[in-house]
Amino acid sequence: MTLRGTGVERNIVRLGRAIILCFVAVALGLGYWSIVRSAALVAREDNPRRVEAERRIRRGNIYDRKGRTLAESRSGDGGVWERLYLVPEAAPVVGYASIDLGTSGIESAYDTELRGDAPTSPIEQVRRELLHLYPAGVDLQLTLDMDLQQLASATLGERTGAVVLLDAQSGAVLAMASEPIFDPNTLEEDWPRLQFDRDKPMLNRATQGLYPPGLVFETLTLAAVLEEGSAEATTVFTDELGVVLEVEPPISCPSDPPATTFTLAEAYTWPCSVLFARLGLELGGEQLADHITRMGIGRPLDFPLDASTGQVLERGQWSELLAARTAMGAGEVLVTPLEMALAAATIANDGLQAAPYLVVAIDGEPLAVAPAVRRVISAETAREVRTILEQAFSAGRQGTSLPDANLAGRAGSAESGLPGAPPHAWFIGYAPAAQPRYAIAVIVEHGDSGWEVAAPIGVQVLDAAAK
Amino acid sequence: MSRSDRQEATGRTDWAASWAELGLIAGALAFVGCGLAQLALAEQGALSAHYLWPGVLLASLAVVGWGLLTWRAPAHDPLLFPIVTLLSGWGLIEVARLQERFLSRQMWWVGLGLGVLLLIAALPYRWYWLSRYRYLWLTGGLGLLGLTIIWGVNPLGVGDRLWLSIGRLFYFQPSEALKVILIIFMASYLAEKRELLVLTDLRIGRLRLPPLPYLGPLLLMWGFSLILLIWQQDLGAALLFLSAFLSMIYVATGRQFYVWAGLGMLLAIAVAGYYLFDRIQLRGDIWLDPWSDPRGQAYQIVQSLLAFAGGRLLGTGVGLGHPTPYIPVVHTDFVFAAIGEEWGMAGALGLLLVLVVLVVRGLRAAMRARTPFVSLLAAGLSAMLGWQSVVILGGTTKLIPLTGITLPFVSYGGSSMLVSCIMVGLLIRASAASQPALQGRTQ
Repeated sequence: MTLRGTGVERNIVRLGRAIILCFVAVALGLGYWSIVRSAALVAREDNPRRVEAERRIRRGNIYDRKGRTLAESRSGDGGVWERLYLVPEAAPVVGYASIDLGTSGIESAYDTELRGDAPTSPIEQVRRELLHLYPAGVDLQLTLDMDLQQLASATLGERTGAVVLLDAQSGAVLAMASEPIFDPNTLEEDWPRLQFDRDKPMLNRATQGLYPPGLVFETLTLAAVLEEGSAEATTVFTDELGVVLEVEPPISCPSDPPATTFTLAEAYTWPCSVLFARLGLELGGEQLADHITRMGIGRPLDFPLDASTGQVLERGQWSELLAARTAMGAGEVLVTPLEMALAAATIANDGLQAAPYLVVAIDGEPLAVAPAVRRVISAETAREVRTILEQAFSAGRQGTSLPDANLAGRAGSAESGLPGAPPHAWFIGYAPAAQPRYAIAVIVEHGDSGWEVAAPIGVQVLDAAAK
Repeated sequence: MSRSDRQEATGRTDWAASWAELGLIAGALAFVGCGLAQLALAEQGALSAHYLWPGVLLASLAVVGWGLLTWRAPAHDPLLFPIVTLLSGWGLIEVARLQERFLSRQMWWVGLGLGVLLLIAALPYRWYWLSRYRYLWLTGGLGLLGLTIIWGVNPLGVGDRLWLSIGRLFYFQPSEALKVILIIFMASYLAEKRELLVLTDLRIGRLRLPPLPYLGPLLLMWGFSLILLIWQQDLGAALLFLSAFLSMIYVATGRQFYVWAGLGMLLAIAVAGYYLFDRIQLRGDIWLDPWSDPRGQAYQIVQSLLAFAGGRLLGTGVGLGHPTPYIPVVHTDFVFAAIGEEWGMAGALGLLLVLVVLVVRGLRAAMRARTPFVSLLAAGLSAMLGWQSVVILGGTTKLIPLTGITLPFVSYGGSSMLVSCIMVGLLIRASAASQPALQGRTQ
């Protein structure tokens, strides 16, 4: 008994076709998920493989100007890389790269390079795809100096504030400290605390903090006056000009000037000078603003870190009062420490302003970009301002424990705007005094006395830089 | 007459086919060896003996098996055994990759399974025994299944209690055994009653109804199995039983009516179950829209789809993807997702192709069989292997709602391995059965 001719063979063929058809359906389903929907699914936020892939990317290392490691990737278990920040003090600049929390700072600005996502040749792409290779990032070299960065951070210590140290000629950022700080190595654990910390440790005060500049701002007014020729360093003024300015409401100082006749240079060194309000008023708001902006205040910077832009005027309306108060560093002026450091660097560099920068080399290749340098004030004006700043430093350190260092600068305080809170303490300066190379801006929030609190930090860091 | 038919007629070993089979076995072993070596490199960074043993075990079994088959079943299909070697080797790689602590246990099962396969394919017994005592087999199978209702356990400690424990170390799933027993039963019954079923229709006008009296015992036994399975809530097995049942009825009678009626019944049961049972409703909802709850109930299927997406065309490489720890029970139900991720779509398509060849060669044996019983048996076994693969592969790719069953030979699981081996052992024997030397001993 066989089945030949009973149609069973035909039935088996049909059954086979049905099964094969179902396999084809599975194959199509497979193609749909593996190819058609692949990119969309891989990119899903809740796809754990995304995180796993991230952990297998070797991020490039970050070095300081002398090749010392600031951040590096170390290989862990199972092809996973761990990010280590060897110099946590550099966190305001280097930032962090966290799978859960994203990136910030240089880690964010140069994420493409550090991850190795920069476009490669098609052959390389095929090679990676075939060999299942994860991209490896390229290394970065920064302008930061590890020692100076750590020093800047340490001298700020427990105080809230920022330090920006620039190479005045090149614009290289040598140190950029902000306190309080976060430790990028333990960011994930600390996050719940950091997020709601009222001291805002995640804020880079050096570039994002907007502060009233106060008395140190008179340096910019001084430069504007000298550049315009409306007065000279040796111009002698008399008593009544320095006591009260009749605007509405009148501007006066808590104490009378220490002398009845004085030069412009002398008036600059005083802790309060109605003379500068008067000079600003004479210059007029618009002309003053023009000079201030040329110095870099309120000019957007091409800078890799998130940076705020200062403001000269809030609503664009000048009044006599506002011009007078702006010249004294009050009014509506807000600056970032980086902008103040830039202004100091411009004076130190004979009136030439070099745009600040942070990255020296990518993947060992020096960045072949000519430094953007522009003339802000004449070399003559800059030298005159420097002479006055040297005198100001000598005068200012009287009665403090500051050493007679080979540098120049000006400290001062700025009303914080918080009722009852002590004013912010500022210092701007440069070193060495004769052949300036390094410029600095220091702010200590609610530090009260510029000379007592901010200046020692600036002197210490400048001293270390100039050595 | 084709060349192989001539060989079958003469009863001598077709050495060309035999050497080709050895070549295929060598290819399968090379594939498995490469996979194990890759896995060793990915997991331990060096070629270690730990990953060598599965390969050695498989290679020795394959070579011994080839010798035995060439000797005892000269005319057998030269594709089936290499495919089993490849699939069970792939399964060993996956168990080593996904659930390493079960590797030695799976090696035992592969050894046992292939041993049983060879015995079934090579021992001189009679098909008659299978066919004659069909009620005995079926009662035994149902009895075992009934035991799980009383003494059923789950090796994981939680979940469906579908297993019987043998000395607390080995677990056996009677529903797996029932699969093959039911096919034997139906093949035997249909071989006897086929002509009656075809010729004696109940005619009501133009409508031709099946002759209920002759279908009765079949429906009764089948219904009883189904009730037991539904009692146990083993939906995957119930679905398989139905598809195998319909396939065999169709092969025997050629009546599409049975198929459509069966599918209609399945659809009705599914819809009713959706509204009656929370568990079925949940499965249905997950299937219809997994993306609304990707971290909750739909986690498993979503992770499976993400695995396929992560694998893309060429995969991440063995041991370099992340099927663990993200896909729950990846080593049994979701082994295809792991293959899709680490071998990519290319590897998964290769696996599909191998499974299709297995089914097609099984059906080829069914077409060439000399007796209706063997023909129906081979067709039923092939269909069962095919539907089982399609149901779980379709489930992991969200083509159909997921039912937790194993992928033959590849998934971890002793009962599945053993029963799949028995099924292919019977297919190999069926493919060799038209050989005159053995024919004398068949029914």
